[in-house]
Amino acid sequence: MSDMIKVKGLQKSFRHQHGTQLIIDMEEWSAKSGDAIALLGPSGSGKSTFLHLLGGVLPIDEGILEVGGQSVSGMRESERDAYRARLVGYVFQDFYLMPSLTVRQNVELVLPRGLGKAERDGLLESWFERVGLLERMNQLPSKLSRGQQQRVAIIRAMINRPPLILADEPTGSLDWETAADIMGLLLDICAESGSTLVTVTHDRHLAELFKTKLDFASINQCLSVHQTGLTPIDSRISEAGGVRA
Amino acid sequence: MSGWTYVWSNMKHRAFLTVLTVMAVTITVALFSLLLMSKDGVEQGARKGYGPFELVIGADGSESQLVLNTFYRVGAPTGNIPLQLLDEIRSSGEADTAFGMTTGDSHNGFPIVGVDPAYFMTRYEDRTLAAGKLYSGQGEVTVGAAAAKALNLKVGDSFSGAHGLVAHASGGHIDTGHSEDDHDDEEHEETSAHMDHAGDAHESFLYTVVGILPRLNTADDRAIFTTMDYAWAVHATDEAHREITAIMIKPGSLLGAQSLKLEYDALDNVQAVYSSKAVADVLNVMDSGSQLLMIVMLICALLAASTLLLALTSSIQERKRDVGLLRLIGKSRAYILSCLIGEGIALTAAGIVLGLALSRLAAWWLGDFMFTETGVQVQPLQMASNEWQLIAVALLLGLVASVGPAFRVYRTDALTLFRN
Repeated sequence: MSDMIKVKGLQKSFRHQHGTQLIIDMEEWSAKSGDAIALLGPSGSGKSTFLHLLGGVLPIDEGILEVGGQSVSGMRESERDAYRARLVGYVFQDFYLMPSLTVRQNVELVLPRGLGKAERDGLLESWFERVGLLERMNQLPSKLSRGQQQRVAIIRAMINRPPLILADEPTGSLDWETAADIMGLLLDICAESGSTLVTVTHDRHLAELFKTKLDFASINQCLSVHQTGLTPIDSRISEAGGVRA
Repeated sequence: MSGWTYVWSNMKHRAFLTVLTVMAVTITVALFSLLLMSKDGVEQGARKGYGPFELVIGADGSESQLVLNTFYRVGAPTGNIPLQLLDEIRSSGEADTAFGMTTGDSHNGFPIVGVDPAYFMTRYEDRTLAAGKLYSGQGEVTVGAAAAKALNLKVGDSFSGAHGLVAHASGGHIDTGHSEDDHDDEEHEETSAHMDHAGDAHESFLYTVVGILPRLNTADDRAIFTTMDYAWAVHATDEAHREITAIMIKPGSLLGAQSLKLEYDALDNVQAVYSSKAVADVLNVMDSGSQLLMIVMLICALLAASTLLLALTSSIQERKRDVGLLRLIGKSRAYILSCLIGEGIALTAAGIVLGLALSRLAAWWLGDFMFTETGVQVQPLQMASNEWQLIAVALLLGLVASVGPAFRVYRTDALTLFRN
């Protein structure tokens, strides 16, 4: 399998009133196409920031970041927008469905404009059927349960079959049973489409579903016990899976 | 999904605010449009109101009053002049055509005008009557289209006229069948009678409808025409004291017009007026009024633009997270900006379309009433002059009102989504 993500000398820092703080400092790291990676680490450890760098939401300060053989490092904002639209699917804890659009329209929003009506309808129907929401695709998000809304968000992230899926606490606001269900669905769909899945989670039980569990401290050099005041990763992760990054 | 679907969904989702905003634009555009249509109606009516009669001669008084009464059936005549002036003018050789006119009586508010039937051929050329024929004998009337409709008069109907212009009873009527002196003696008594009884009916003098005029789109639609001698018959005036209220002259030449004006303007108690000049004076006064109204309307327009601005500002602020999401899923800033501005334009455009439709509906519904009451004829099926400019300015205001809020938000970055 080829490398989907390649990182070399990646740095990201944020300015604050007392100066600049380095948040991400990664020497070398890579992930293969089709990998499913659970990114574990304490709150404030930079996991979400790393996800935003991967997604091109934040610009990179230093180093090399390649996704699908394309360098994200030197991209302008408009190029990062286009890159995200083409290569990245996002799933969030809070779903972020637009309340004014039906769930079908929320998904249609990411579909390319060139699709014909029949092709579009067929695609949408097959995806909504896949997640068991075919009958509810014309309803507003507010009419759906949280678990159903997250299923819609997964369709939106996956429908264009992007090679990279970034999920930030995708089950954080769901009950345990629904969370397992949703995480299982996400993993299954990613496996079917061969997408690389990078998921930030605090839930060790759910992390067990992933082939690769990665302690973010092991790849982010600016994370140390001295800096964070935290204990090594295994004991830092709550048994109940309750804290957010 | 196209930007318009997104815009439309947002508008539907905030239906109440959308309806309020569109209503504000609709009402403003409808008022502006009605004003422009009325302005056109006044100007067109004024321009063609006097036909080929470039000169009018009547009793001394206000030039505007003479022209307004003679051609537009508005207000009272300035007074009476001797009938013999008409014969003098006709024999002078300076006039191509001249018609005397007697007014002063009315039927249910519609003036009864005594004029030679040849007036219609001179003014309107050969037109087919809507029904019946032109009057030819005493007591026969041919009724203007609007008056016939309002009074429900048909060929063969009879009625008795009332003394004075009832609709303007308090304005002082003129008794065309009496000499100046006689008139002065009776004025107080008759005016008071009109006010108390809404017209002093000449019960003994019956008029019979012999024809209905076609729609002429002039003040003649609102009048009832009969022979000039009706007034003398109604009031039993002897031949030596016969008077008329005005003489409408189609001059033979420019020089002839000037010569007649100079000659008859010099007579005591008589004035000669160029119709076009008097109409222009009236339009100038009306223009000042229109300009005042326009200022009030501009304030309305600014209020509508403010409503749009507030609605969009509130809508866009609420949707900041949506914008963040759009950015996150890779929509460009240009797409977001066009959606946000598009929403403002869509609201304005909807208001413009509905406003124009509403103004036309109002003009169609009120048209006959407006024409009957004021003589102003609006044309609902035509674009009024400056109405395209109205549309352009409304769209521009919509654009200006949208650009501010849109620019405030379109720079929102995807990270906004994750900030509390």
